[in-house]
Amino acid sequence: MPEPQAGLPWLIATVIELRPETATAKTIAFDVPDWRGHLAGQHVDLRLTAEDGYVAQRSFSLASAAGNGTTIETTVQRVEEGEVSPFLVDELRIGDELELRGPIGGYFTWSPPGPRPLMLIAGGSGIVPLMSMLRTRRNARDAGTALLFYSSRSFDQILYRAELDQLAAAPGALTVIHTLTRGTPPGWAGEQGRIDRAMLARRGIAASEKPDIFVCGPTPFVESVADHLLSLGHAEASIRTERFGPTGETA
Amino acid sequence: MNDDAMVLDGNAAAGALESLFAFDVTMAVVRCGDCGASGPLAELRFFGSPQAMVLRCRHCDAVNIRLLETDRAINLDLAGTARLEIRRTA
Amino acid sequence: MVVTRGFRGRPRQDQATRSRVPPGQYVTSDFPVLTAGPTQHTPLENWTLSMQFGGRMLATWSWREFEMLPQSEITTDIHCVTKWSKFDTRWRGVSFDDLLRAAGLDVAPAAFVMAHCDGGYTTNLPVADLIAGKAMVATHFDGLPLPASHGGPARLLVPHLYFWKSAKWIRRIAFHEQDRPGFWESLGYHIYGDPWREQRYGGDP
Repeated sequence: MPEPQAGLPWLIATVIELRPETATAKTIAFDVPDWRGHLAGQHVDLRLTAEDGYVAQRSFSLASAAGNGTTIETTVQRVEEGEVSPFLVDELRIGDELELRGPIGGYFTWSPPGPRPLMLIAGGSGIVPLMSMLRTRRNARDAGTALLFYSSRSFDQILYRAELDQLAAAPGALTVIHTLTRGTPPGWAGEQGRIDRAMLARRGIAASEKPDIFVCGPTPFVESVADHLLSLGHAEASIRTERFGPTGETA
Repeated sequence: MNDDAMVLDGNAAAGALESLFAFDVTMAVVRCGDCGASGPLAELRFFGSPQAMVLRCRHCDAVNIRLLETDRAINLDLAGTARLEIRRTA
Repeated sequence: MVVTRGFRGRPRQDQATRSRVPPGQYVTSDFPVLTAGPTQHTPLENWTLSMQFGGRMLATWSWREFEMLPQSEITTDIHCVTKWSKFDTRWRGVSFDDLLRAAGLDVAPAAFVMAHCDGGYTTNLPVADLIAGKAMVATHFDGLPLPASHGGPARLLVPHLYFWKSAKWIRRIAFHEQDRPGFWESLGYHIYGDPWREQRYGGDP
């Protein structure tokens, strides 16, 4: 009688493309022959092993659209003094192999078609899983109301800027609202400052329309936005959150 | 000192729990064994490491779920969870 | 083992100090931290440390009283179960031997201890691993008062075992006839935790 296998298996992922998104962030495309497909919003665990056997493991959200193909993408933001992200952004080469397991997570996922309006709220690298949702939505030609609030520190830190412009310009009822928290370039037409209750009230989808809401980013950002949403009358059950942050493994 | 960003709520448990259950356990609603508050497992507060996870109630900080992953086994402690509610999908 | 080309990871010291490194460990100059819950902040005016056996309180010290107890200093290596070791850490506090003496005890009333901490953390140890200079209740690290994030105002320090045994925010030392698993031990960490025998998890020999 075969032993039950507990835990997702580790697969071998081969780097097939590297695409700088900003000066400090890079999209990595992997070929994973045994990939069983994923939903928008899911993530993968990557495991890196040094020659002396030292192992580091981190989770990264999938940026590529949902589907069953064997090519998947994630976008990694280089974190100062990080242990894994500087390696992935600066050192990784095409042809390199990593151990990867996934797809992981069913809570923070979205699948088309709506039918409810979709409101996505991203802080910094929290945009990555939400981008998977928007790409999935585009592939499905979903034309339901969709709105993205995306908070970045500065203009040059915005990920996927050109693609978001395209998605917003194409027919399909997507509105993209950028806000910058640390200074805006001349001629900036977007919002300024943190996503607060006033901005959400002014430009967000109203609670009466009962949107599905996904919030992703650093913990304080997510908690603050979630509080504002509740105070604006959105039902707790319609808000899904995913919090990122430093690992706090050393002090 | 900052390290790489990682998932800091119950979503972090999804990888380890992925094939232990027939359903996605991060979607399950956890009722805290201490204070009775209910919410999705994904929303619990995360402590520990990816190998040794402690998920605590957001309201009262009580330990609801603990998870240890070793080469040999995955240990799951639900003693702090009064109830785990797994809703049927449509 | 699938090696990732070019991956180094956090800076680790090399083999010159091999004999000081337990199996499976890597050396860091950072301070490795494994948390089971939110950082505890107990005001000193509310802080007490007590020793207890069965229903009997053997001794209690307020912070002021605790500070008056004999002080010991130690420089030692520490080993976290997350595989990080840190050399030459400097601590000051009250040795477990001096605590027993201050409680009027020549010998511990039972063979095992459960350490109880603010926030609910517990860990178990044999008394034999606490006496004869092997352990202290530490209040200072690197010459400065222990910060809350590192277990201040006082933590147990038992450096010859994995560092999860060095319980942060210790408030009560309870003696028991039998060894029973504490917080991490009951989840599956090793009941004893000797880094030199790499006893990380239950079932490790």
